[in-house]
Amino acid sequence: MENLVEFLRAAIRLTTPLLLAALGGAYMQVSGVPNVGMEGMMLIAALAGYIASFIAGSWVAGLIFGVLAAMAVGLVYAFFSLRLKADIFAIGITLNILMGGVAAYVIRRYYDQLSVLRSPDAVVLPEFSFRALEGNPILNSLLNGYSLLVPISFLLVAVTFIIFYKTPFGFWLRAAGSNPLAVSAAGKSVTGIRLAAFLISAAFCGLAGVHLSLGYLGMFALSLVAGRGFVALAIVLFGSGNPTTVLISSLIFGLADAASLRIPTELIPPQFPLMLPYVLTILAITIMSRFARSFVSTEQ
Amino acid sequence: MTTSDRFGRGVLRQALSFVIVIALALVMGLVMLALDGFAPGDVVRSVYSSTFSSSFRFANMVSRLVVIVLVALAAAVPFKAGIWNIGGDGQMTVGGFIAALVGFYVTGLPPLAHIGFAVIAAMIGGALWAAIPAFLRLRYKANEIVTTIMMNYLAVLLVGYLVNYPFRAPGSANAETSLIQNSAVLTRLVTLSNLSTGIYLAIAAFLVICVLDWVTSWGYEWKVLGANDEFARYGGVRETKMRFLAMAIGGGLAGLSGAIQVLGMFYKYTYGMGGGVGFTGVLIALIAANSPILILVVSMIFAFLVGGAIGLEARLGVATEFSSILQGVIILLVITRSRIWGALSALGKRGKRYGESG
Repeated sequence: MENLVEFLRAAIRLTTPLLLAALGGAYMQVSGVPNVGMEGMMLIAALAGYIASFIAGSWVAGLIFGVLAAMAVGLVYAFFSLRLKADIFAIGITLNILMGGVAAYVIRRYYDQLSVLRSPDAVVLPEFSFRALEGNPILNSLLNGYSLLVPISFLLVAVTFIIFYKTPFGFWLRAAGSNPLAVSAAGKSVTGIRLAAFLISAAFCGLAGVHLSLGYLGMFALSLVAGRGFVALAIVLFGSGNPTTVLISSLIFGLADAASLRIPTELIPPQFPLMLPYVLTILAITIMSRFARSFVSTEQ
Repeated sequence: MTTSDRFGRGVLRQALSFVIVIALALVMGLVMLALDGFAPGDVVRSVYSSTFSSSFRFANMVSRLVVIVLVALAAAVPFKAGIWNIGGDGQMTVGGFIAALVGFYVTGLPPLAHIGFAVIAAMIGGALWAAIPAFLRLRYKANEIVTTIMMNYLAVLLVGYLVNYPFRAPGSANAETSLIQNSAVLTRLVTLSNLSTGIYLAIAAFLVICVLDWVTSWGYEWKVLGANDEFARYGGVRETKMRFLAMAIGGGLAGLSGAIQVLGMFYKYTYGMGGGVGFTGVLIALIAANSPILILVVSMIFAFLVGGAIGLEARLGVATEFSSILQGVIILLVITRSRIWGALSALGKRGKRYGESG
């Protein structure tokens, strides 16, 4: 029982970065542009957030600077793909590689580290608990005491759902994806709507990155994103940006991620469980793509 | 595109604009480093020290070029046919590992046969690794950007398991295979350097791709597919078959680069070998996929950047990844160069007009 609770808690903690990134990716996806730069946005946010946290001695600073760093990447991404009309995949992939270079350069130049950055002065995100659940031992042990962004990520599913389907902004966002010509005809700027989507998407990736360094690991590592930006892209693609589908898929991937880290290595060499999330991504995107035509909004 | 355009002025003009953009990026790199406290003189000396300062350094840079050209082609051939291959790293890993196995376990063959066996096995391994995402894309429409990247992680984990457990060299402290037999070794061309006769294999592969591209109908079909699926289908291009072939060839080339590294540089497969160079290949393909000559030119520049970064690391302690920053900047500039110049010249014209009226 305790093992099960521990496992589920690990799964929830690992769901959060995917959920945050994929929710952010959904804003761009429904507006008609895929976010291929999530990997780089998360990495740079994780680094900027961690550094800001130990310089300022405050997790709030970490959160703010992490998100701002990701949004700066989002702005560059938007400038090249919306303003200069360059291929969105090409720019996204280039930015990922560029950010990998920037992160490696920074930790080497300023902290003389090769791949990992750790500081005793870093203030990690605080834990959050619901008072109302503290009386119930099962719910308390399962749902309380997570790093701050964990409950927030689940809250953001509801927020995103409301924004997408209950607000004028969400309406125009979805319209920019499904029928950009009509949006233009209605006198709205498709580019403007998409720019907003880029920035929101980047901010979400920023939260995901900050969670990885300041919430989940308590340190920064060049390998800490480890393909999660692309797993998140897969989640967005096969949910075609629907927040509910994003939530369910992220939970499944969180479970797989947790399982991959908790299968005892006496039973099986560690490499095989670690393959699980990647194999699952390939399988899921393959299976979902078969049905894609029926619910994916038209491209561009 | 006309034939004269393909061989002549078009490529020349493109190459010239590349050179200008790259010179600009190099200057930006110097400025970035200068702003960060590295004197430009030191930077230039460090870069020179690891690139052109001796035949040994130069040979090492050329050996890097060999790997980079192959992974660039591995991404470019599929890219030209309108299908992404971000999986060069994984295909290279699989190819290199297979070459190491054939190099060690097969005995009693004459050198040429042994090398040929190892190289072909590596290429087939790389091609098969690429065939999986290609199949999933062409049969089930599974997004190949995502799947090829996932295949990279899987290759690292799978080969990581194999070199850690069943195929680990007996008594070795590292995760690596046993040394290959002498008969499988690609001879060094410059003493102590990484440059081996593997370069001839790379040249041969490059020429084959040039011929495919310029002479055969495959090159034409790929180009049409890359430009416009609808038109290609209407024109009778065998979409699925041609894209699958492009991907398999790409995987084979990445496998070849792995084999050249194992048979000509390390003489064994070491865990984590060549990590990340596949992405350099993708970047090159992004801007140069339409011409093998351009790929060669850009690969040379990137090999210089990577080689120079090693000097920067050794002498000034700059992370070698600085070269990926410059690579990224170059790609952004090249992809958008016509737009940027258009915007600049528009600004210039506006300025002039105001100047005239005032």
